[in-house]
Amino acid sequence: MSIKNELEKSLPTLIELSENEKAMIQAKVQQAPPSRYYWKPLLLSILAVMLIGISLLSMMQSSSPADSAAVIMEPEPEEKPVRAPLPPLTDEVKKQYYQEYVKIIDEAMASKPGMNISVVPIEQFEDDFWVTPGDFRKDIQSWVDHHLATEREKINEMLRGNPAPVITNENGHVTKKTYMYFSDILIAIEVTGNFKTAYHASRNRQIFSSVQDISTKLTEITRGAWKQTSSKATLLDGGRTIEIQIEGIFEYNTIRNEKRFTIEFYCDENGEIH
Amino acid sequence: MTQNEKDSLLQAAMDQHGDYIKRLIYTYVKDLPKTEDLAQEVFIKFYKSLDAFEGRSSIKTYLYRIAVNECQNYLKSWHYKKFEVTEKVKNWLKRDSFEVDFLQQEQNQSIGALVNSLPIKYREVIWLYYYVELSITDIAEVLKCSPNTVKTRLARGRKLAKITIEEGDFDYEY
Repeated sequence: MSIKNELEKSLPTLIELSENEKAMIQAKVQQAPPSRYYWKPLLLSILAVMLIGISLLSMMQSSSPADSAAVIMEPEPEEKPVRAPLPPLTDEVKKQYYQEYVKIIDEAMASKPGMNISVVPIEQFEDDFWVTPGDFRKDIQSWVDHHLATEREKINEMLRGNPAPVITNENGHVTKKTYMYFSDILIAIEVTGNFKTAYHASRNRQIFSSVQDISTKLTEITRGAWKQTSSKATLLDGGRTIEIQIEGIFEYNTIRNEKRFTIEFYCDENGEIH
Repeated sequence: MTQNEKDSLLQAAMDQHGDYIKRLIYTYVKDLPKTEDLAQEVFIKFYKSLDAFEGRSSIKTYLYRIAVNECQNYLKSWHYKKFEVTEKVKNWLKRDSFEVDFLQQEQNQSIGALVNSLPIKYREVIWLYYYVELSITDIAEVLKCSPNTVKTRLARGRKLAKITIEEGDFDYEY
Protein backbone atom coordinates (compact mmCIF):
# COMPACT_ATOMS: atom_id res chain seq x y z
CA MET A 1 0.00 0.00 0.00
CA SER A 2 1.41 3.39 -0.93
CA ILE A 3 0.46 6.04 1.58
CA LYS A 4 1.18 8.69 -1.00
CA ASN A 5 -1.40 7.17 -3.35
CA GLU A 6 -3.90 6.77 -0.54
CA LEU A 7 -3.52 10.44 0.35
CA GLU A 8 -3.89 11.50 -3.25
CA LYS A 9 -7.02 9.39 -3.62
CA SER A 10 -8.58 11.22 -0.68
CA LEU A 11 -8.62 14.48 -2.65
CA PRO A 12 -12.06 15.14 -4.15
CA THR A 13 -10.78 15.68 -7.66
CA LEU A 14 -7.55 15.96 -9.59
CA ILE A 15 -6.17 19.23 -8.30
CA GLU A 16 -3.55 20.82 -10.52
CA LEU A 17 -2.06 24.23 -11.02
CA SER A 18 -3.31 24.84 -14.54
CA GLU A 19 -1.41 26.69 -17.26
CA ASN A 20 -4.03 29.43 -17.02
CA GLU A 21 -3.34 29.86 -13.33
CA LYS A 22 0.40 29.96 -13.97
CA ALA A 23 -0.11 32.61 -16.61
CA MET A 24 -2.30 34.60 -14.23
CA ILE A 25 0.36 34.45 -11.53
CA GLN A 26 3.05 35.54 -13.99
CA ALA A 27 0.83 38.43 -15.08
CA LYS A 28 0.16 39.48 -11.48
CA VAL A 29 3.81 39.51 -10.48
CA GLN A 30 4.67 41.56 -13.55
CA GLN A 31 2.01 44.11 -12.57
CA ALA A 32 3.50 44.51 -9.09
CA PRO A 33 5.55 47.71 -8.79
CA PRO A 34 9.30 47.12 -8.99
CA SER A 35 11.33 47.30 -5.79
CA ARG A 36 12.49 50.78 -4.95
CA TYR A 37 15.90 50.01 -3.54
CA TYR A 38 16.80 53.67 -3.25
CA TRP A 39 14.11 54.04 -0.59
CA LYS A 40 15.84 51.60 1.69
CA PRO A 41 18.53 53.96 3.05
CA LEU A 42 15.89 56.63 3.61
CA LEU A 43 13.59 54.21 5.43
CA LEU A 44 16.48 53.00 7.57
CA SER A 45 17.34 56.60 8.49
CA ILE A 46 13.75 57.32 9.49
CA LEU A 47 13.66 54.14 11.54
CA ALA A 48 16.91 55.06 13.28
CA VAL A 49 15.60 58.55 14.13
CA MET A 50 12.41 57.01 15.51
CA LEU A 51 14.36 54.55 17.65
CA ILE A 52 16.56 57.32 19.06
CA GLY A 53 13.43 59.37 19.79
CA ILE A 54 11.78 56.47 21.57
CA SER A 55 14.84 55.77 23.72
CA LEU A 56 15.16 59.46 24.64
CA LEU A 57 11.48 59.52 25.55
CA SER A 58 11.84 56.50 27.81
CA MET A 59 14.89 58.11 29.50
CA MET A 60 12.87 61.26 30.13
CA GLN A 61 10.02 59.20 31.55
CA SER A 62 12.28 57.29 33.88
CA SER A 63 13.73 60.57 35.23
CA SER A 64 10.28 61.92 36.13
CA PRO A 65 8.24 58.98 37.43
CA ALA A 66 5.33 61.15 38.49
CA ASP A 67 4.58 62.01 34.88
CA SER A 68 5.11 58.55 33.47
CA ALA A 69 1.52 57.41 33.85
CA ALA A 70 0.35 60.30 31.73
CA VAL A 71 2.78 59.53 28.90
CA ILE A 72 2.44 55.78 28.48
CA MET A 73 -0.55 55.10 26.30
CA GLU A 74 -1.49 51.43 26.61
CA PRO A 75 -4.09 50.45 24.04
CA GLU A 76 -7.40 49.85 25.73
CA PRO A 77 -8.67 46.32 25.25
CA GLU A 78 -11.73 46.28 23.07
CA GLU A 79 -14.78 46.18 25.26
CA LYS A 80 -17.35 43.54 24.58
CA PRO A 81 -20.85 43.54 25.97
CA VAL A 82 -20.65 41.29 28.98
CA ARG A 83 -23.69 39.35 29.94
CA ALA A 84 -24.38 39.15 33.62
CA PRO A 85 -24.15 35.56 34.78
CA LEU A 86 -27.47 34.04 35.61
CA PRO A 87 -28.19 33.28 39.25
CA PRO A 88 -28.73 29.57 39.98
CA LEU A 89 -31.99 28.57 38.32
CA THR A 90 -34.67 26.47 39.94
CA ASP A 91 -35.87 23.39 38.08
CA GLU A 92 -39.13 25.15 37.35
CA VAL A 93 -37.40 28.14 35.73
CA LYS A 94 -35.13 25.80 33.74
CA LYS A 95 -38.18 24.00 32.42
CA GLN A 96 -39.77 27.31 31.46
CA TYR A 97 -36.56 28.51 29.76
CA TYR A 98 -36.24 25.22 27.92
CA GLN A 99 -39.76 25.54 26.52
CA GLU A 100 -38.84 29.03 25.30
CA TYR A 101 -35.68 27.64 23.69
CA VAL A 102 -37.68 25.01 21.81
CA LYS A 103 -40.07 27.70 20.57
CA ILE A 104 -37.17 29.88 19.41
CA ILE A 105 -35.61 26.96 17.54
CA ASP A 106 -38.93 26.20 15.84
CA GLU A 107 -39.16 29.81 14.70
CA ALA A 108 -35.57 29.72 13.45
CA MET A 109 -36.29 26.57 11.45
CA ALA A 110 -39.33 28.21 9.90
CA SER A 111 -37.07 30.99 8.65
CA LYS A 112 -35.16 28.47 6.54
CA PRO A 113 -37.23 25.49 5.46
CA GLY A 114 -35.11 22.39 5.25
CA MET A 115 -32.78 23.43 8.05
CA ASN A 116 -33.13 20.72 10.66
CA ILE A 117 -32.07 21.83 14.09
CA SER A 118 -33.27 20.91 17.55
CA VAL A 119 -32.27 21.61 21.13
CA VAL A 120 -30.32 18.98 23.01
CA PRO A 121 -32.43 17.26 25.73
CA ILE A 122 -32.85 19.30 28.90
CA GLU A 123 -30.89 16.70 30.87
CA GLN A 124 -27.83 17.46 28.76
CA PHE A 125 -27.88 21.17 29.60
CA GLU A 126 -24.94 21.93 31.82
CA ASP A 127 -25.02 24.79 34.33
CA ASP A 128 -23.09 27.20 32.12
CA PHE A 129 -25.34 26.56 29.09
CA TRP A 130 -28.29 28.39 30.59
CA VAL A 131 -28.94 31.90 29.33
CA THR A 132 -32.05 34.06 29.26
CA PRO A 133 -34.42 33.29 26.39
CA GLY A 134 -33.61 36.76 24.98
CA ASP A 135 -29.89 35.98 24.81
CA PHE A 136 -30.65 32.53 23.44
CA ARG A 137 -32.71 34.09 20.65
CA LYS A 138 -29.92 36.54 19.77
CA ASP A 139 -27.29 33.80 19.63
CA ILE A 140 -29.45 31.46 17.58
CA GLN A 141 -30.36 34.24 15.16
CA SER A 142 -26.71 35.13 14.79
CA TRP A 143 -25.87 31.48 14.14
CA VAL A 144 -28.70 31.10 11.58
CA ASP A 145 -27.61 34.29 9.78
CA HIS A 146 -24.08 32.98 9.63
CA HIS A 147 -25.25 29.55 8.45
CA LEU A 148 -27.35 31.05 5.64
CA ALA A 149 -24.57 33.41 4.57
CA THR A 150 -22.11 30.52 4.52
CA GLU A 151 -24.56 28.37 2.54
CA ARG A 152 -24.94 31.07 -0.12
CA GLU A 153 -21.22 31.73 -0.21
CA LYS A 154 -20.25 28.04 -0.48
CA ILE A 155 -22.78 27.25 -3.19
CA ASN A 156 -21.85 30.35 -5.19
CA GLU A 157 -18.17 29.54 -4.87
CA MET A 158 -18.76 26.01 -6.14
CA LEU A 159 -20.90 27.21 -9.03
CA ARG A 160 -18.31 29.82 -9.98
CA GLY A 161 -15.39 27.43 -9.59
CA ASN A 162 -17.04 24.50 -11.37
CA PRO A 163 -19.43 26.02 -13.88
CA ALA A 164 -21.62 23.36 -15.47
CA PRO A 165 -23.43 24.01 -18.73
CA VAL A 166 -27.21 24.16 -18.77
CA ILE A 167 -28.16 21.23 -20.98
CA THR A 168 -31.23 20.94 -23.18
CA ASN A 169 -31.96 17.42 -24.44
CA GLU A 170 -33.74 16.34 -27.63
CA ASN A 171 -37.13 16.46 -25.86
CA GLY A 172 -36.59 20.05 -24.83
CA HIS A 173 -36.00 19.21 -21.17
CA VAL A 174 -33.50 21.54 -19.55
CA THR A 175 -31.05 20.42 -16.85
CA LYS A 176 -29.11 22.68 -14.54
CA LYS A 177 -26.75 21.82 -11.70
CA THR A 178 -26.74 23.23 -8.19
CA TYR A 179 -25.66 22.14 -4.72
CA MET A 180 -27.38 21.23 -1.49
CA TYR A 181 -25.59 22.43 1.60
CA PHE A 182 -25.44 20.50 4.84
CA SER A 183 -23.12 22.50 7.06
CA ASP A 184 -19.66 21.52 5.84
CA ILE A 185 -20.91 19.19 3.13
CA LEU A 186 -21.96 20.14 -0.38
CA ILE A 187 -23.89 17.63 -2.48
CA ALA A 188 -24.16 18.30 -6.21
CA ILE A 189 -27.62 17.81 -7.70
CA GLU A 190 -29.10 18.29 -11.16
CA VAL A 191 -32.55 19.77 -11.69
CA THR A 192 -34.38 19.04 -14.94
CA GLY A 193 -37.62 20.52 -16.21
CA ASN A 194 -39.67 20.70 -19.36
CA PHE A 195 -39.90 24.44 -19.96
CA LYS A 196 -42.13 26.22 -22.42
CA THR A 197 -41.50 29.74 -23.56
CA ALA A 198 -43.69 32.07 -25.59
CA TYR A 199 -43.25 35.33 -27.39
CA HIS A 200 -44.61 38.28 -25.44
CA ALA A 201 -45.58 40.97 -27.93
CA SER A 202 -45.65 43.99 -25.62
CA ARG A 203 -42.23 43.13 -24.23
CA ASN A 204 -40.92 42.06 -27.60
CA ARG A 205 -39.17 39.02 -26.17
CA GLN A 206 -39.61 35.41 -25.14
CA ILE A 207 -40.71 34.64 -21.59
CA PHE A 208 -41.48 31.45 -19.69
CA SER A 209 -45.03 30.22 -20.07
CA SER A 210 -44.87 26.96 -18.07
CA VAL A 211 -42.69 24.23 -16.61
CA GLN A 212 -43.57 20.58 -16.13
CA ASP A 213 -41.93 17.29 -15.21
CA ILE A 214 -39.50 18.73 -12.69
CA SER A 215 -37.08 16.04 -11.61
CA THR A 216 -33.82 15.93 -9.68
CA LYS A 217 -30.89 13.57 -9.41
CA LEU A 218 -27.57 13.51 -7.58
CA THR A 219 -24.57 13.89 -9.84
CA GLU A 220 -22.45 11.56 -7.71
CA ILE A 221 -24.53 8.42 -7.33
CA THR A 222 -22.02 6.84 -4.97
CA ARG A 223 -22.50 9.55 -2.40
CA GLY A 224 -25.90 9.02 -0.83
CA ALA A 225 -29.39 8.78 -2.27
CA TRP A 226 -31.91 11.51 -2.95
CA LYS A 227 -35.66 11.20 -3.18
CA GLN A 228 -37.59 14.21 -4.36
CA THR A 229 -40.89 14.63 -2.52
CA SER A 230 -42.26 17.84 -4.03
CA SER A 231 -41.54 20.83 -6.22
CA LYS A 232 -43.11 24.23 -6.67
CA ALA A 233 -42.39 26.67 -9.48
CA THR A 234 -42.93 30.42 -9.33
CA LEU A 235 -42.69 32.86 -12.23
CA LEU A 236 -40.68 35.96 -11.37
CA ASP A 237 -39.43 39.06 -13.06
CA GLY A 238 -42.24 39.29 -15.59
CA GLY A 239 -41.73 35.69 -16.73
CA ARG A 240 -38.00 36.00 -17.35
CA THR A 241 -37.15 33.85 -14.32
CA ILE A 242 -38.63 30.67 -12.89
CA GLU A 243 -37.79 29.88 -9.31
CA ILE A 244 -38.23 26.23 -8.44
CA GLN A 245 -38.40 25.15 -4.84
CA ILE A 246 -37.66 21.49 -4.34
CA GLU A 247 -38.10 19.31 -1.29
CA GLY A 248 -36.77 15.86 -0.73
CA ILE A 249 -34.95 13.44 1.50
CA PHE A 250 -31.24 12.84 1.32
CA GLU A 251 -30.05 9.53 2.73
CA TYR A 252 -26.55 8.30 3.25
CA ASN A 253 -26.40 4.76 4.62
CA THR A 254 -28.44 5.09 7.78
CA ILE A 255 -28.51 8.88 7.90
CA ARG A 256 -31.59 10.68 6.69
CA ASN A 257 -32.06 14.40 6.26
CA GLU A 258 -34.94 16.39 4.85
CA LYS A 259 -33.86 19.23 2.62
CA ARG A 260 -35.48 22.07 0.74
CA PHE A 261 -33.61 24.20 -1.76
CA THR A 262 -34.36 26.57 -4.61
CA ILE A 263 -32.89 27.00 -8.07
CA GLU A 264 -33.59 29.65 -10.70
CA PHE A 265 -33.77 29.24 -14.47
CA TYR A 266 -33.56 32.28 -16.73
CA CYS A 267 -35.10 32.82 -20.17
CA ASP A 268 -33.29 35.23 -22.47
CA GLU A 269 -35.02 37.34 -25.10
CA ASN A 270 -34.60 34.61 -27.72
CA GLY A 271 -36.06 31.88 -25.52
CA GLU A 272 -32.72 30.32 -24.58
CA ILE A 273 -32.79 28.94 -21.05
CA HIS A 274 -29.88 29.36 -18.66
CA MET B 1 18.72 38.66 -8.34
CA THR B 2 17.74 39.89 -11.79
CA GLN B 3 14.18 40.03 -13.00
CA ASN B 4 14.88 37.24 -15.49
CA GLU B 5 16.30 34.98 -12.79
CA LYS B 6 13.28 35.60 -10.61
CA ASP B 7 10.91 34.90 -13.48
CA SER B 8 12.70 31.63 -14.26
CA LEU B 9 12.67 30.58 -10.62
CA LEU B 10 8.97 31.32 -10.35
CA GLN B 11 8.21 29.34 -13.49
CA ALA B 12 10.33 26.41 -12.29
CA ALA B 13 8.69 26.49 -8.86
CA MET B 14 5.21 26.48 -10.41
CA ASP B 15 6.10 23.65 -12.80
CA GLN B 16 7.79 21.48 -10.20
CA HIS B 17 5.70 22.17 -7.13
CA GLY B 18 2.48 23.84 -8.31
CA ASP B 19 0.26 20.76 -8.23
CA TYR B 20 1.61 19.61 -4.90
CA ILE B 21 1.32 23.05 -3.32
CA LYS B 22 -2.26 23.32 -4.48
CA ARG B 23 -3.16 19.88 -3.15
CA LEU B 24 -1.53 20.62 0.17
CA ILE B 25 -3.47 23.88 0.44
CA TYR B 26 -6.67 21.98 -0.24
CA THR B 27 -6.00 19.69 2.73
CA TYR B 28 -6.07 22.77 4.95
CA VAL B 29 -8.94 24.79 3.53
CA LYS B 30 -11.04 22.02 1.89
CA ASP B 31 -12.54 24.44 -0.58
CA LEU B 32 -11.52 24.55 -4.23
CA PRO B 33 -12.04 28.24 -5.04
CA LYS B 34 -10.22 29.24 -1.85
CA THR B 35 -7.45 26.78 -2.72
CA GLU B 36 -6.96 28.53 -6.06
CA ASP B 37 -6.83 31.96 -4.43
CA LEU B 38 -4.31 30.84 -1.84
CA ALA B 39 -2.13 29.02 -4.39
CA GLN B 40 -1.85 32.23 -6.40
CA GLU B 41 -1.07 34.17 -3.25
CA VAL B 42 1.67 31.70 -2.32
CA PHE B 43 3.49 32.02 -5.64
CA ILE B 44 3.13 35.79 -5.70
CA LYS B 45 4.59 36.01 -2.18
CA PHE B 46 7.31 33.59 -3.17
CA TYR B 47 8.25 35.78 -6.13
CA LYS B 48 8.16 39.00 -4.12
CA SER B 49 10.33 37.55 -1.37
CA LEU B 50 12.98 36.09 -3.65
CA ASP B 51 15.27 39.08 -3.04
CA ALA B 52 15.19 38.30 0.67
CA PHE B 53 15.76 34.57 0.15
CA GLU B 54 19.12 33.78 1.69
CA GLY B 55 19.43 30.23 0.51
CA ARG B 56 19.66 28.76 3.99
CA SER B 57 16.93 26.31 3.07
CA SER B 58 16.04 24.83 -0.28
CA ILE B 59 13.63 26.60 -2.61
CA LYS B 60 11.20 23.74 -2.03
CA THR B 61 11.24 24.13 1.75
CA TYR B 62 10.98 27.90 1.43
CA LEU B 63 7.97 27.58 -0.85
CA TYR B 64 6.18 25.14 1.43
CA ARG B 65 6.83 27.39 4.40
CA ILE B 66 5.04 30.24 2.63
CA ALA B 67 2.18 27.90 1.72
CA VAL B 68 1.73 26.57 5.25
CA ASN B 69 1.85 30.10 6.66
CA GLU B 70 -0.80 31.28 4.24
CA CYS B 71 -3.08 28.37 5.11
CA GLN B 72 -2.62 28.78 8.84
CA ASN B 73 -3.32 32.51 8.63
CA TYR B 74 -6.44 31.87 6.62
CA LEU B 75 -7.72 29.29 9.08
CA LYS B 76 -7.02 31.59 12.00
CA SER B 77 -9.02 34.42 10.51
CA TRP B 78 -11.86 32.13 9.57
CA HIS B 79 -11.98 30.60 13.02
CA TYR B 80 -11.80 34.03 14.57
CA LYS B 81 -14.96 35.11 12.77
CA LYS B 82 -16.92 31.98 13.51
CA PHE B 83 -15.60 30.97 16.87
CA GLU B 84 -17.71 32.76 19.46
CA VAL B 85 -21.25 31.94 18.47
CA THR B 86 -20.52 28.59 16.88
CA GLU B 87 -18.80 27.30 19.99
CA LYS B 88 -21.71 28.24 22.18
CA VAL B 89 -24.52 27.21 19.88
CA LYS B 90 -23.04 23.81 19.24
CA ASN B 91 -23.67 23.02 22.91
CA TRP B 92 -27.34 23.68 22.46
CA LEU B 93 -28.13 22.05 19.16
CA LYS B 94 -28.48 18.47 18.06
CA ARG B 95 -28.11 19.43 14.41
CA ASP B 96 -24.48 18.33 14.21
CA SER B 97 -25.38 14.68 14.14
CA PHE B 98 -26.04 14.51 10.40
CA GLU B 99 -22.74 16.09 9.42
CA VAL B 100 -20.78 14.20 12.02
CA ASP B 101 -22.26 10.84 11.02
CA PHE B 102 -21.88 11.59 7.34
CA LEU B 103 -18.27 12.62 7.62
CA GLN B 104 -17.54 9.73 9.93
CA GLN B 105 -18.85 7.24 7.40
CA GLU B 106 -16.94 8.90 4.57
CA GLN B 107 -13.79 8.94 6.63
CA ASN B 108 -14.02 5.28 7.47
CA GLN B 109 -13.53 4.45 3.82
CA SER B 110 -9.82 5.04 3.40
CA ILE B 111 -6.59 5.89 5.15
CA GLY B 112 -6.34 9.12 3.21
CA ALA B 113 -9.74 10.21 4.40
CA LEU B 114 -8.86 9.13 7.92
CA VAL B 115 -5.72 11.29 7.79
CA ASN B 116 -7.81 14.22 6.61
CA SER B 117 -10.05 13.91 9.64
CA LEU B 118 -7.11 14.38 12.02
CA PRO B 119 -6.41 17.69 13.78
CA ILE B 120 -4.29 19.96 11.61
CA LYS B 121 -1.08 19.51 13.56
CA TYR B 122 -1.03 15.78 12.81
CA ARG B 123 -2.52 16.04 9.35
CA GLU B 124 0.02 18.54 8.06
CA VAL B 125 3.05 16.52 9.10
CA ILE B 126 1.64 13.39 7.47
CA TRP B 127 0.97 15.21 4.20
CA LEU B 128 4.33 16.93 4.23
CA TYR B 129 6.18 13.71 5.02
CA TYR B 130 4.37 11.10 2.94
CA TYR B 131 2.95 13.17 0.12
CA VAL B 132 5.33 16.08 -0.40
CA GLU B 133 8.20 13.84 0.71
CA LEU B 134 9.99 16.42 2.81
CA SER B 135 12.50 15.22 5.38
CA ILE B 136 11.91 15.61 9.11
CA THR B 137 14.41 18.48 9.18
CA ASP B 138 12.68 20.24 6.30
CA ILE B 139 9.26 19.80 7.87
CA ALA B 140 10.63 21.31 11.08
CA GLU B 141 11.86 24.25 9.01
CA VAL B 142 8.51 24.62 7.24
CA LEU B 143 6.49 24.45 10.46
CA LYS B 144 9.02 26.41 12.53
CA CYS B 145 9.26 23.77 15.23
CA SER B 146 11.90 21.29 16.35
CA PRO B 147 12.57 18.02 14.52
CA ASN B 148 11.58 16.18 17.68
CA THR B 149 8.18 17.82 17.64
CA VAL B 150 7.74 16.73 14.04
CA LYS B 151 8.69 13.15 14.92
CA THR B 152 6.27 13.09 17.83
CA ARG B 153 3.41 14.47 15.75
CA LEU B 154 4.17 12.09 12.93
CA ALA B 155 4.18 9.10 15.26
CA ARG B 156 0.97 10.21 16.93
CA GLY B 157 -0.69 11.02 13.59
CA ARG B 158 0.25 7.64 12.17
CA LYS B 159 -1.21 5.95 15.18
CA LEU B 160 -4.45 7.90 14.95
CA ALA B 161 -4.74 7.24 11.22
CA LYS B 162 -3.88 3.58 11.77
CA ILE B 163 -0.95 3.78 9.36
CA THR B 164 1.34 0.86 9.89
CA ILE B 165 4.92 1.39 8.91
CA GLU B 166 7.36 -1.43 8.55
CA GLU B 167 10.29 -1.33 10.89
CA GLY B 168 13.16 0.73 9.51
CA ASP B 169 11.00 2.67 7.12
CA PHE B 170 11.07 5.67 9.37
CA ASP B 171 14.27 5.35 11.36
CA TYR B 172 16.60 6.75 8.76
CA GLU B 173 15.24 10.21 9.39
CA TYR B 174 16.46 10.26 13.00
